[in-house]
Amino acid sequence: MPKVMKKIKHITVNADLCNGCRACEVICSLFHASPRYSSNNPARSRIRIVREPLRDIYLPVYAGEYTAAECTGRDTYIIDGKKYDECDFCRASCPSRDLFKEPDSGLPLKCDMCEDEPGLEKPKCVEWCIAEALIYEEREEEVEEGEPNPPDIEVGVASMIDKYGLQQVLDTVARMMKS
Amino acid sequence: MRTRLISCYNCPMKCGATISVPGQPTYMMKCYSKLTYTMAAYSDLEFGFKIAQRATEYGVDGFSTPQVMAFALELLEAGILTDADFPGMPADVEGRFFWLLDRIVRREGIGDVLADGTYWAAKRIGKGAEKFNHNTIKKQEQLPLKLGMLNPVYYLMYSTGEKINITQIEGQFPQAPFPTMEEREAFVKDWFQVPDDKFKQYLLDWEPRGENSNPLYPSVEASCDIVDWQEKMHYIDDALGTCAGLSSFPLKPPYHIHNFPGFISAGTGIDFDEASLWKAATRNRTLLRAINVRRGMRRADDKPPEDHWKRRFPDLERKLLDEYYKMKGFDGNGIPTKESLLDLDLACVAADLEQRGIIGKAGAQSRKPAEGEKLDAKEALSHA
Repeated sequence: MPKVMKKIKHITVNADLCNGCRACEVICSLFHASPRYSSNNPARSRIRIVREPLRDIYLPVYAGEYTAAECTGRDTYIIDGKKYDECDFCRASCPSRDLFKEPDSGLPLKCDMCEDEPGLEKPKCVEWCIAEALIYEEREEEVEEGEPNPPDIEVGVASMIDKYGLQQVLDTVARMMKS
Repeated sequence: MRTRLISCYNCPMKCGATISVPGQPTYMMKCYSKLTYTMAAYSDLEFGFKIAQRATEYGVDGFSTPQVMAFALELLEAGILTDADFPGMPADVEGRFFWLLDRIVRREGIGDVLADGTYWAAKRIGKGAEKFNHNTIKKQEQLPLKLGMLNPVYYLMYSTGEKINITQIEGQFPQAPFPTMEEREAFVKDWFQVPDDKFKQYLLDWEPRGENSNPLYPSVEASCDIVDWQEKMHYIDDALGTCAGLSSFPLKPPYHIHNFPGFISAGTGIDFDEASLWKAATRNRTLLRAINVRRGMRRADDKPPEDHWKRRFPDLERKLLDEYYKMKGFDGNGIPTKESLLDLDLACVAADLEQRGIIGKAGAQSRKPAEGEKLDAKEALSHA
């Protein structure tokens, strides 16, 4: 497969600097509200803080790919004396938890690096992280040329098919078109 | 020891911390608690963090608890309390503080007396213990500060603050003059939070030494203005539920008198401008004074901790209080006048105070309930 150069957008999370204020969740949900900035609901945010103050765990996690299946295992990690669940680091919108699902529809959420507003220097969460726990970086990388990522709507419909089955989704769309 | 400064939801102010002392469970601490036990015991921070962990788990505060413990040990040194009052207490200072903490939270022996706070403990102990109760006002423990020259602004705030603690009234104006004019000019350059430019001039003119220094400067009038602004912002915060950390407590805060009206209007749909917000805060402040006056508070209670300042100026202090009361619409005894209550749409409060004989009748202002006097049923219900 031919190789192409691709701009990779990347956020480094410095969990040691996070103070758990959740400003990233607030600005993310505001920015992605429709109309923009019309509502503030961290449950709609594409970044969430795994926050366990008494275990000193403050871990910003970005919404990644949608997956229909749960993991089979649940490993734990001890880092610097702190015990983390495997899910703490996982970016997936998956059936095992409520994270990264639009709360009204249940559709998966995924971080888009705020690309739906062209010209932004950096994602909003990075801009508003006063603790500087989020660092935005760009780099060029040679990658294999492949299909572009599916659009949001396709990911959403796929998740509905996974949840309700293709026939029920088709029947529902057909019924709605008639009314 | 591991620490991390932490914030409340959606707030950039890292005013708390999680503390992990080796061998002890992690706990959360607000900024000042790290010092209070340390200061009370004349010990180090390691001791402060350790005992604060246990105090936090017990649910006692880091402010009055260490002070009442130090008070008990002072009484022991002075012979007012004896070893018989502290059976089994360790000999070392740190051990004594841990021992006292346990007695207080379990209300065992001397701990039962101390658990009521320094003011009431001194009364129960007697035998001259009251002399050691020098850091309370209005029966409440204050910051353990002992300073030299009286500061007129802080004199007024300590004396008249009815939320009992200086942190609930100070904040907008620097605590002390800046040493050089360059520093002052740099500070006022972007000081847009001031309600009026005269506050910038007050700061510019305030010198560490000489004619324009404490206690004669800020002047009586300027001191009243400065106190009025500072306490107004706290009353606004209290009414809105805004954390003082982003508004009334720090210098140059993000929320201030100029942008609050817009936020309130946007959030509530109630039209507010600076003048109406200022008046609402005045109303709240006057209402609080009226409640306390009804419970017996008078001018005699408006005083700072006894030895907070080494150098005191009775004439100046009298003028300061007089002018403050006048500005607030209180009479010479610190009681809101009928006229000021009516101006603030508090006619029902005026009627209540009048009915009780507190205002409106010649000589009525001097009535002050005796300490411990029980409230009548109507008063008790209204305070419930």
